[in-house]
Amino acid sequence: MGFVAYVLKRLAYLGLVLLGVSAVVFFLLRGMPGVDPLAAYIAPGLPISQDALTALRRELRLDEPLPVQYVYYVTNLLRGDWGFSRTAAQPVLEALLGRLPATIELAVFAVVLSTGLGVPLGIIAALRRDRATDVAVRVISITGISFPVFWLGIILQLVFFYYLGQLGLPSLPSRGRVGDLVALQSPLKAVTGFYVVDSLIAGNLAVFTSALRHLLLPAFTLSLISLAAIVRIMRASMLEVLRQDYILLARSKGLPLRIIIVRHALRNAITPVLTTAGTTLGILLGGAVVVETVFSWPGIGRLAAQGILNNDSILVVGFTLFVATMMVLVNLVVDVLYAVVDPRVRY
Amino acid sequence: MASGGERPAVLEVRDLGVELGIGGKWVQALRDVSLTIRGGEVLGLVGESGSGKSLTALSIPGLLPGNARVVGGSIRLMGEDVLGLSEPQLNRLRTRSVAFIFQNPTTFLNPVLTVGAQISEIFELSPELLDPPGAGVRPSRRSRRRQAWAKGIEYLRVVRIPDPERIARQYPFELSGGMQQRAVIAMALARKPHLVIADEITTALDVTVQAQILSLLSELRRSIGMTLLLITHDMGIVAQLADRVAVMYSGTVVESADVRSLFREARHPYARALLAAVPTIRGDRTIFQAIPGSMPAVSDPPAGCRFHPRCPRVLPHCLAVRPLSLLVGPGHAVACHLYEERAE
Amino acid sequence: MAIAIAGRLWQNKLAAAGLAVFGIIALTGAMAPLVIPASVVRDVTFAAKLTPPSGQHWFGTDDYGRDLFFLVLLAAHLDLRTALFVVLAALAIGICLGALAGFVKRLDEPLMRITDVFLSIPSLVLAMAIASVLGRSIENLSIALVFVSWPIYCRLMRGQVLTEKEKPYVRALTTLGVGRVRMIFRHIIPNTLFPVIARAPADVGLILITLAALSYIGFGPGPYVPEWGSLVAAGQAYIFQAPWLVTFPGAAIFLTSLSLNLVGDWARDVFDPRLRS
Repeated sequence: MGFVAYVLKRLAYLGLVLLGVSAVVFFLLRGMPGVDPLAAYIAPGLPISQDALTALRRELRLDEPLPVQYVYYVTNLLRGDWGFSRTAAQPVLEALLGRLPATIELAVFAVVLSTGLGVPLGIIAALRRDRATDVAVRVISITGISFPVFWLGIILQLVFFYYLGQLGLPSLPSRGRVGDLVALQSPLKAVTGFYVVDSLIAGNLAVFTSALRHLLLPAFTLSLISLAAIVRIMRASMLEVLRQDYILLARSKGLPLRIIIVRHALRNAITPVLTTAGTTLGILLGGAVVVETVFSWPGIGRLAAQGILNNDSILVVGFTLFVATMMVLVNLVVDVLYAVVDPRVRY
Repeated sequence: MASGGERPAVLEVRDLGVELGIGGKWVQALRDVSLTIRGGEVLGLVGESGSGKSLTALSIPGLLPGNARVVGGSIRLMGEDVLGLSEPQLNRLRTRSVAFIFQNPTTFLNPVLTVGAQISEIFELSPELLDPPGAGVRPSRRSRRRQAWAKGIEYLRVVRIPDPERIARQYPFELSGGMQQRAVIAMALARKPHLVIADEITTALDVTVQAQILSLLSELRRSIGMTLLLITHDMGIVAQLADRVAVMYSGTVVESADVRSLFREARHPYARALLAAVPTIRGDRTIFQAIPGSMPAVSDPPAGCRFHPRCPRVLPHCLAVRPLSLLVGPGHAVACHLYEERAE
Repeated sequence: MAIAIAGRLWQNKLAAAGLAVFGIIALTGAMAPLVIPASVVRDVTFAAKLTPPSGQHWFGTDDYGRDLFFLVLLAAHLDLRTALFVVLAALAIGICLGALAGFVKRLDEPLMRITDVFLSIPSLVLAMAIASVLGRSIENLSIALVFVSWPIYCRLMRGQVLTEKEKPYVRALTTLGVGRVRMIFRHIIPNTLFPVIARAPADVGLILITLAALSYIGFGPGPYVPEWGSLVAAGQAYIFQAPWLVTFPGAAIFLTSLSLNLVGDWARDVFDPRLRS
C-alpha cells in the first residue's frame, strides 16, 4: 500500500512541475516583453507576405488574452503539436523523437561509464584512508568539475584521432555514430534506433564494432563531470555509513568484509548517489548539447544547437520542454528506486 | 586453574592494558584489568560511564575502535589467546565463540534489511549451525536459505517475540525498542557462543521493557546455562542477575567478588559509595547519596590511586602509589591501600 | 577575524595557490583593455596567419593573423566581467527572495514551486532557451544566466533562514524584547549569509564554463569581440593545422575555473563546515 501511494504522490507532484515548465516555456514564446512572437517564424532573409502573417496570427490566436492562448498551447502540446521547426523541416516533436535514440545511447553509455568507474573508485577511496588516495580523490574531483566539457572533447579528438592517426596507431573516430564506409557496406536495419542494440540483433558485427568505437570518445567526455561527482559522493557516503553502529554489529557477527560492504554498507551508502543521478542527468543533457556539437553526433542536442544558429526559437523552446519532461521521468524512476532500496521512504 | 568442583574458565583477562589515541597522544585508558568468568556464570561489570567497561568488553572479540591499541596483558577465551589472532581468525571467533549485544538496538540494526534477513545471515554464514541434512542429501542454495530463515524464526521465538514469522519480514524501524533488543539478543544466541557480552542493553529502554528483557535473560540463563558478561551501571540489575561482580573505576578493576559478598561487605570506598548511592526511601524521605566530584578524564589522571581525590578515607600513601589488587577473602579482591596490611 | 581567515588560507596551500593564480588572471584581465590596443582585434594580417607559437607571438596567430596571446587576455576581461556580474546579480536576487520566503510564510510555498520549475530544467538548456528568444548577444546571455542561477541561491537562503529562525538564541532574544526588524537584520541575516556566499567562488567558475560553452555553440559575440568560448569554436576549424588555437583559450578557461574551484572548496570548508564532504 505504501509503495503505490508513494509513487502516485510523486507522479502528481512531478506533473505539476511539468505544468510549471510549460508555463515558463509558453511565456518565453509568447509573453516576453519586447519580443514579437511572430519573429520566430520568420526565416531571416526570406520575405513573407502580409496575408501569411495574418493567417499565422489567427492560427496562433495571438489576439486572444495570454491565459487563453496558454490553454490552447497546452492542449496542443498534449495532442503532440509542438510547433514546426525550420531547421529540421519537420514538426518539432517528430524531429526530437527521431533523434532521441542517438542521444539516449550516448547518455546511457556515459552513465554506465561514470557509475561503473565512479562507484568502485569511491568505495576503494573510502576503504583506503591513506594520504595518497585522499589526495588523488581530491585531484580527480576538482579537475573533473573544472574541465570545460567542450574543450575536453576537442582535446580528446586531437589526441586520439589526429595524433594517434599520425603515429600510425589505431585511432578513435571523431565524428558521427558509425563509419561512413561501414554504413554503406553493411547497412543497418533500425529496430530500436540504438545502433549498438540493433547491430547485435541483426548480427551485424561490422556496424557493432564501428558504433562502439564511435561511442567511446563522446561518452567518455560526457561522463567526466559526473564521474568526479560520483567518486566524491560515494566516498563520503561510504565513510559515513562505515561509522554507523549497525556496521559494528555486523562485524561482531563475524561477517567477512566483502559481505559487510556489499550487503550492509552499500545499500545504505548508495542513496546519495541516486539523488545525484537525478541532477547528474540534467548536467548530462546540458552537456550533450555541447558534446554532440563537438563530435557531430546526430542527437537532439546537436539539433538544438543548430536551431540556435538558425534563430529557430520554436525548436529551442520545444527542446527545453522535451528535456524537462525527460528529467521529470528520470526523477520519477529515481524516486521509485529510492523506495525499493530504502524501505523507510515508503511510509 | 580449575580445581575440584569448579567449572573451567570461559574467559580469562589478565592485566589488560589499552591505550587510546586522543589529541595526537596515546593515553592509558585501561590498566591492569583482570577478570575471570567461568562456564554458566554471570559476571556483572559495573562502573560509571567512562570507567572503561565498554572498552574492556570490545577488546575481547577484537572490536576496539581504530584509535585504540592493546599494550599489555592477555585475553584467553576457552584457553585460547585472543590478542594474537589475525583478522580472519578473529572473524571465526566472533562467529562461533563470542556474541556481543549492544546498548541501543535501534542504531545497531541495519535499517534497510529485514529482521529475518539479519538473523538468518548468521546461519547462511555458518551452515554448521543448521540441522544436518538427511543422509546422502546435498542441500541446494535455495533449501539452505529456507532453512536459515526458518532457523532464524525459531530463535525469534526463543526470545519471546510474538508472531515471529510476521516480524521476521518487517524492518527494524517498524518494531518497538523492546522487540528490537530481543531480536539482537536472538542474533547473539543463534551463534551458540561460549560467551555473551551484554553492554548496557537495557539503558536505552524504558523501565517496563527493561524488566521484560531482564526476566528473559534470567530465563535464558536457567534454560541454556548462558555464560554472560553483563555490563551495566545499575546495581539493581547486578543484584538481580549476576553471580559475581567486578567494579571498575577510571580504567581499572577496583574490586571483584561474588554478588552476595559485595553487597554485604564491599571493601573499596568507591564500591561502597556506589552501593550507598542507590536511592533509598527512609520514612517519608528519599535519600540521595551522591559521590562528590567526577571521574577524571582519561587524558589527565591523578597520580597514585585514581580515586583518591574523591575518597572519603584517603591516606597520604594513596596520592603517590597505585594500589595493586589483592585477595581479602575467597574470590574477593580489592585494589586499595586500606586493606594492604590485612592481605595474605 | 580577517587575520584568522588569512591564517587558515595559508595552511591550505592549494587554495592559496588557487587564489594566487586567479588573482593573476583577474589582474591581467582587468588591465588588458587598457594596455592592449584595439587594433590587435581589428587588424587582419593575412601574411601572419596561422603561425605557431614563437618569440614574437607567444600563443601563435589565428586565421586573421591576430596575436592569440592578446586575444586570450582581452577575452579574459570579457569572460570574467560577465561571470562575476552574473553571479553577483543572481546572489542578490536569490538572497532577497530566499530571505523573503523564509520570513513571510505566505510567500514561501509559491516561491518554492517557482524554483522547483526552474531547477527542473538543466541550466545550460534553460539559458539556451532564454537567450535564443532574446537574441544572440553577450548581454542577453548574461541575463539568461542570471535567470538560471538565482533559484539555487533562493533555495539555500530560504533553508538557512528557516533553520536559523528556530535556533534557541533567536527565541531567547525575542523574550528579551528584541524587535523583529532588528532581529532579522542584525542577527539572523548575518548568520545565514555566509554559507550561501561561500558557494560564490566555485559558482563563478561554473558560470564561466557555461558561458564559454554557450558561446562555443554559437551564442558568441562574433570574431571582433574576443571571448574564450568563441575563440575555441573559431579554432576548431583549423584544429589539425593549428592546434594552438583551441589549446590556449581552452586552457585559460580550465585554469581559471580550476583556481576558482580550489578557492571555492576552501571557502566552503571555512564558511560552512556542514557541507564538508
